[in-house]
Amino acid sequence: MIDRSVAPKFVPIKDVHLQEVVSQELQNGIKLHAISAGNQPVLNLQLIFKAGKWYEEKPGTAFLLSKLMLEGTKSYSAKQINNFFDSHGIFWEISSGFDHLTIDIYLLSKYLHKISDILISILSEAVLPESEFASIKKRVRQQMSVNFKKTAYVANINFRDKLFGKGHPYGYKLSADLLDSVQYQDIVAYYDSHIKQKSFEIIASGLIDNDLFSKMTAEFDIMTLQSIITPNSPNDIKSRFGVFHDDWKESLQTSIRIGQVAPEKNSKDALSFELLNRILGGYFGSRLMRNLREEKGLTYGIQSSIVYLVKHAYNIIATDVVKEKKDFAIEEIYKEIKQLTTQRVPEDELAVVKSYVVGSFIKSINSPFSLSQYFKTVHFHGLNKDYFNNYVSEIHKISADHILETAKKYFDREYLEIAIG
Amino acid sequence: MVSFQEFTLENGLQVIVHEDKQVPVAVVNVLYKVGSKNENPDKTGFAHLFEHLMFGGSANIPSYDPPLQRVGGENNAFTSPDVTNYYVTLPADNIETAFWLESDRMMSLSFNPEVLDLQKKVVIEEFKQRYLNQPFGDLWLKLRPVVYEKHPYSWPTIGKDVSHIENATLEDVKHFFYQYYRPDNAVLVVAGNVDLDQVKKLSEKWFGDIPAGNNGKLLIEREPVQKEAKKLELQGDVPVSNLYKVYHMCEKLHPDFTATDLLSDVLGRGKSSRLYEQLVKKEKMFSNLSASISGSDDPGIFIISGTVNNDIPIEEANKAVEQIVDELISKGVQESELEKVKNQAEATLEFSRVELLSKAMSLAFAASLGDTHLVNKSLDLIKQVEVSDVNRLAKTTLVPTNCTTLFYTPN
Repeated sequence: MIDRSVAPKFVPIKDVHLQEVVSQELQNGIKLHAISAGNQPVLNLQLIFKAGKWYEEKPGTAFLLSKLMLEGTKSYSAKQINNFFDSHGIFWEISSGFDHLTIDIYLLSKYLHKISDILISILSEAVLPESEFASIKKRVRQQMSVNFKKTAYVANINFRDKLFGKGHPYGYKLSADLLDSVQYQDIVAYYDSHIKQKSFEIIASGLIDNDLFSKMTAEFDIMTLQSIITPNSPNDIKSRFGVFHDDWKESLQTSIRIGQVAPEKNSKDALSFELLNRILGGYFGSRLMRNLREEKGLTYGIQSSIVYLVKHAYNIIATDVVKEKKDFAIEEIYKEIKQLTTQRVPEDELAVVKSYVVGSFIKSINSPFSLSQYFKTVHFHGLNKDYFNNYVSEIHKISADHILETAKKYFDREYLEIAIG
Repeated sequence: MVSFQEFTLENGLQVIVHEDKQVPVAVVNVLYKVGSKNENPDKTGFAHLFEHLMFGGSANIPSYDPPLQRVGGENNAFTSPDVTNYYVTLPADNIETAFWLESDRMMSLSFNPEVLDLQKKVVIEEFKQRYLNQPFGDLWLKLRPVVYEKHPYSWPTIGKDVSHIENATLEDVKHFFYQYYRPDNAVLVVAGNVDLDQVKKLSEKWFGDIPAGNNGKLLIEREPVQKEAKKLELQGDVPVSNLYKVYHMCEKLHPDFTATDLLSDVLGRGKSSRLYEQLVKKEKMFSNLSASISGSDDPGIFIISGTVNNDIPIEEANKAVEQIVDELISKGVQESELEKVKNQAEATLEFSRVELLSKAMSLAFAASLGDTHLVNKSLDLIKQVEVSDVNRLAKTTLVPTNCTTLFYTPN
């Protein structure tokens, strides 16, 4: 009989070497980065433009442009484009984020040669039909009206709004008023200055052999492009820390968001802050999860996470709790934060968290698409190209003392606290 | 192609191995052939509550998560109307830890009353968060029992009512466990950087001595054929109106399943589909509109759903959808339309074979349906569908007497 009360032996996790990224600058200035991995004949292309919220003059412009860019070009109607992509089983979307506007395409590699004509057309002669502008606004407004009934959504947008402060491009919340203030001409101007025949980067991942790589360079080198002039938004963060509660009579739960700015990805404190965040609320066995869910049953879940944007980073604790116990839950959250600034993390717990962190890292290296995410992190945060190759050993170097110092430095300050519902 | 090898232990546990030496990890996936459809109608939500209890300690291991986290592993689970599925991903070198943990909880849970009390609270909060505290959250809670009058798909996995969860006793829990959580009612899939011999040894070592069950499943009542159109009107604190049209369709192993799936794609998958192009883009009656199928093991449902634009009366929107459905029935689909949705389905299939976990789950689902080889048959099934199949199914499925229509409007 085996003794089931004894855990099997295990080995510590070692560094892994990620697939090399092949980067090449095409003659027209496009930077192509390719990551080859996997066995399936599939390809993901991400066309990345410096055209997110950060570069907007009027909030909401990039978002509305990303919708309007789907609506046809001088050579192809929207219907033809949709039909073409659907007919080849190609998934694509245009999304506008904090820093970038991204065209994301998933296709079977055999169809690569079929997509460049349409893409080039979208990037050089999009029609941006004014008739669609109104109906897109209407659709967004309707969607917004649903979201504004959700406590979690309202809590999230309030959090960012107050964390970054008035006028900051990362912070604004999309409201009906804001939507109204964006004119059709603003969209056209933004397209002309940031997308139309402007340089961009491509990140390609999938099963990419030499032949497919040369095909990609050939397909995209035929465009003529100018480099983009991007004024940097000058705004500093003007956070309004403090407490913002809004009681909704009909709500059964309260959405709580507590957080503040965090060290940026390329800061020397980033890794120890990441461990600190995990200990607090970044995995299933975290202190907040054990306290609020497993011991007190106040919530279905609570997470603490770090959001890295290109120019800033922030830490946010998020949970939906029993409404009547809202204040108690908030008190417990602060108690856990405080404890991390006053007491060293026990070695046992630290070992578990480290294993968890490196384990999740190893596990996430499971497809060409996840490798492309790691490359983006290195690339856009200006990290050393071996950053993830040394990740496991760097995590293992961090001590409990180091974590305590980091907690004192970043946790011992005023927090932004939102409670909605 | 997903390559695999399989064997069965003496206690009836079916084991499937998929080797992939490119990745540094392994997946251990345990599927139990029990879902909310196996529940007693007076004790619903049990399969899902059970999923929570499975993390509250087993016979020899007080808590499931910490030992797994220590070796760099991670796990989760989900409950569907048909099955409950548990999965662990961990560095391949440490795979034995997953065998130890999964086999101990298959051997026996700790049946700790405190764990039960606590997880009841957590599930009740989950009930509120998902089903009650957001606009349209209760839609399926109310629509299911109208669509399904006899079959247990009439309640959602979370249960009919909060009270069913509140009333669960430790006796109920034990009974449920020994009825369904036995090796002969389970499928073990091991995938990733592993090999067959290693998996054989580990399976025998850790799962071999768990006794088989006697597996008396409740008889599941078949849903009778719907004979007349049904209508449900709901009002709630919602800012817009939603329209749902739900039709009964065949089960997953039925020869018509794939063709019905493709029919739903023609009607409402993506922006080039009939419904989207006509009623979202052209007539601007809906802000979104799509069609899909539930894809369940027992006879399932074909769903058309959309959000109606605020200036359009929902009755008018409903008529417009019916008109498009009628046109499809009377004129049929075009060859090019079918070709398009087949290509979409092929791409979806290829992409679902990229990640290890998704391959492991596909193997487990196929095995739970009785034939692991089904995992590699989908592409052929898609290619074999002909226009005449889709047209025939449109005529038999999309008829008003087979439909439940829901208007969910602001109060």
